Amino acid sequence: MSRALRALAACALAAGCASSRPPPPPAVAPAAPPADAWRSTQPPPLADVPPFRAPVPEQRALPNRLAVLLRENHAVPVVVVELTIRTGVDGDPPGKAGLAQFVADMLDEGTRNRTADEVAVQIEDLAASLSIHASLDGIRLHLNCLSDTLGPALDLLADVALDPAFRPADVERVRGIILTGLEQRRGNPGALASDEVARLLYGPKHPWGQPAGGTVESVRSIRRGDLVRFHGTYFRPNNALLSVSGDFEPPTILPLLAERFGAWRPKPLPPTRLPSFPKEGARTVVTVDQPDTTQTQISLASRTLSATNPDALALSTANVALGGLFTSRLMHQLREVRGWTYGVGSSVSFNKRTGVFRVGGSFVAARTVDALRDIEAELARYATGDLTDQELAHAKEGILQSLPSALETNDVVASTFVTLSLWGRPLDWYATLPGRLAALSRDDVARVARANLDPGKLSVVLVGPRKDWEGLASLQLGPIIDRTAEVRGLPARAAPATPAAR
Amino acid sequence: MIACSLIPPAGLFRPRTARARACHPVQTRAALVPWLLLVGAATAAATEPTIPVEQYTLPNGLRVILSEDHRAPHVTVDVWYHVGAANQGPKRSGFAHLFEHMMFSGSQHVPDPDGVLAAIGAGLGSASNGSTTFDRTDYYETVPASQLPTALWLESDRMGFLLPTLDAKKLATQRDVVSNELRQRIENQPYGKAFITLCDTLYPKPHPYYHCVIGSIEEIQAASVQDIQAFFRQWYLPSNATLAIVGDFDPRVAKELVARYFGDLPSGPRPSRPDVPQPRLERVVELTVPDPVARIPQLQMVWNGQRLFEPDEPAGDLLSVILGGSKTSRLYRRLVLEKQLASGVSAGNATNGLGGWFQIIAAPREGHTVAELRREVESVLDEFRKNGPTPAELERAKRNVVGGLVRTVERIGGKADRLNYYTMWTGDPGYLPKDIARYRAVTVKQVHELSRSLLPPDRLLVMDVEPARASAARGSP
Repeated sequence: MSRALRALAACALAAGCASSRPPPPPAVAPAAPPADAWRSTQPPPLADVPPFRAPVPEQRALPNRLAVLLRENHAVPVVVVELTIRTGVDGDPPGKAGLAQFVADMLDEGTRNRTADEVAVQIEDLAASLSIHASLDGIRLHLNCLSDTLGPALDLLADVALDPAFRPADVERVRGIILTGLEQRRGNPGALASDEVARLLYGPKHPWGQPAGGTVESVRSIRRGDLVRFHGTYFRPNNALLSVSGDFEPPTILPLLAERFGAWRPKPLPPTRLPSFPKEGARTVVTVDQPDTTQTQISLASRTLSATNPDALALSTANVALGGLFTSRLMHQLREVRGWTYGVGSSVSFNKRTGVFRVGGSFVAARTVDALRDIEAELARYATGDLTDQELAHAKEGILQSLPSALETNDVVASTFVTLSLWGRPLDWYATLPGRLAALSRDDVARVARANLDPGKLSVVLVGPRKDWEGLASLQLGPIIDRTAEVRGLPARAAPATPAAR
Repeated sequence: MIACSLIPPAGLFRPRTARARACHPVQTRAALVPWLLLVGAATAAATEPTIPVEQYTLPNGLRVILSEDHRAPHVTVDVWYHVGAANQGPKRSGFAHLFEHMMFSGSQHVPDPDGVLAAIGAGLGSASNGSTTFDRTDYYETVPASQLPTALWLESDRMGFLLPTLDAKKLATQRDVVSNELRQRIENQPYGKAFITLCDTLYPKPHPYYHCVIGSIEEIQAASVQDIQAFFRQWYLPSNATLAIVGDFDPRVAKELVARYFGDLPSGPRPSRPDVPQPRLERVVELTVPDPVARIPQLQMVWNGQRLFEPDEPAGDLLSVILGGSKTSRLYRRLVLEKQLASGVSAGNATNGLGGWFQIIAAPREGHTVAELRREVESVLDEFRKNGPTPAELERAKRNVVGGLVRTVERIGGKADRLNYYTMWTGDPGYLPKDIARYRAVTVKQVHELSRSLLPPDRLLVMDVEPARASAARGSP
């Protein structure tokens, strides 16, 4: 369909060239139903639409080796600055899972120059926003401010990044909030599934294999000294990146940044000693019982190619074609034909060390085993690389045409540059994407799919009411491992028995 | 592009109530008007942002709103139908939303709308979707600028030709899909049940807001093809819809396309909007809500609220921000920062066509109880009712709310949504600067007085969400 449309593209509706369609009916509501057979024909696209040009940053650096990425955009009086530390959860030492996140949570909770409340008041008074979070790859401090208050906003950013105080009282206050959040996660089926998937992909000894944000035990064990040490070790200009997008003046931006970040002292990083990821072995089925839920969260996942692999784009494209679009057979079969789910799909995602292939959704509990059987059948196609020209065309078109919206705001653009940098991809990745996509043949994509989207490598995670999983073993997907006791733990505090209403 | 989204459950509000610390002035190259000085409403010789629009009405009553924005070669088409949960009959909870799903199931000349969208590059992510709220239903797609004709073709076909291909099989499938949506978004989300309890207490049967848009599985499963047909004929008229086109297009071309695809769709007189009185709480209603998914208790205090665009609505929004909208709010400072009883607290002012609610939510830290939180919230409220806000607090809150308002139109999709929203509720798609002015005009005295009238201590719903740990830890068969 897509190719047919392109052939028609030369004939612009606006240009009024000859069309095989009948003339439009009059623009008045008629009493009788119109002769509307002409409506069965999809209209041709308009011509003369310019291609989208994805932004590419200018690369600079401060004398202390702090990398700076700049993208000027005067459309709005806003500047977004994302300061990124290139160490995240991978900096968590053994037994201290959750440390990177704890550090991130502490940064705006009091500096040597400002109390937590003063930081909050000053950000709000500037009508700025500052969000901080830790991921597997890094810690990002994302500032959005008005261009005419860029200076004071950068003062705040530099203060929280470089000078956090980690006052003991603030540490304990924030620790309590984190612990409450961790307890909350234990009830959330999606969060539990993600934690189990991470454990399978990265291994129980790797920091990335730990539950997101750590465990109650590990967070309780973190001392102020751990926070200070993490900050002192990894918050260094030689391990950081400033990504700036928005309404700044090129001659003044580097001096503005140097004023706040120029005195930041570089320091060599300790060598990274991380356990290797687990070897690919036989499939396993990991289960977590949640007796009172009405759906089962089904996830299937494996590691796959990294972001810098030459075949990574073909892999992403194959995935979109097979399971990333709403029209995918996976979605069609399980949602539209069976009616067992609100949504199911597959994804290929990346981080700085590897890629992840994941399939999943939430399914009505009574159909868990049937749904898993259907998913397996659909996934068998992935391994054959059997996709149609139309599926490939739709995937390419979807990826390409999503770019203008995906890169619409300064917030997203600044973050996207950081992501490219963390993954080791070239910074003009999106600018060159159209050409690289066009060059992908169906054979390329099929070959990469065959080699890398093998359902036989996917481990399975089920979170939901086990009483509804009768027949699971008969699918013979691998040994079934019950992790309910370890994952759900004992109630952290006594729950009073309460009547339904007072 | 999951074909639907609902108002999110408890604690989240439509973005029109600004959240903390946002500052996203409108973008504009070609069209928009620009500089908004959020900092210091006091310095407000500031130019307010406006969205340039061209609007007209087709003979069949369809209102059309065009707004050019040439920053990138894409365009959003967004159709709002003025029908939502408010229009549902008795025992028809969830019906408006179920209907929304049917609009993605194909129409006479576009049997496979998802296939069409995928072919033009709108098959991924959030490029295309629909959503149902208490008062309206929308359908939108952001497509390459060259594909505006196809987007209009698709929207016009489901506006005019949905019924010929609608059958029992399609309906049966979507009844199940929607039932799964309910399980996923309500039953298996922490605090999902509290949200339903809120709706059912504030809007008891036969009020159409009963069961919060999503409805009950029993009533969803009871919907018949005849019900769907009647609903379509009653509410899905061009005269009951607005069509916004925002992005990179030539208005001459767009108008020609709109005339071609929508001009001859049959219509009828614009149906009147439902108007059901808002029931009032007459006492303190205390409920314990057992929650099988939540692991942390939660306190929710809920008052009868306001209707959209009633005169005190801006003061209500600002009150919510000052009380619980950010890390500088009264409740955050007292409960989270100073006394450290709570791990989090929020306040929100949800306003809808037939009424709203003002809600405070707090979660206890380990070692503390919902009862303690409630006492502390009441103490903060007592103090506020007595003394009102400080001028600095109000100023900061205004800045945040205005920032949030402006942020909603930063993207072309958000702008289309806002144009339709203002058209529905004020008749003026270009209402944004007037809306900002509503907030700028609010005084300390107004917020103070509203805290007494809107948040009476003796007429509210208090929910104690109790994690159902006993059964969660019961183990497996």
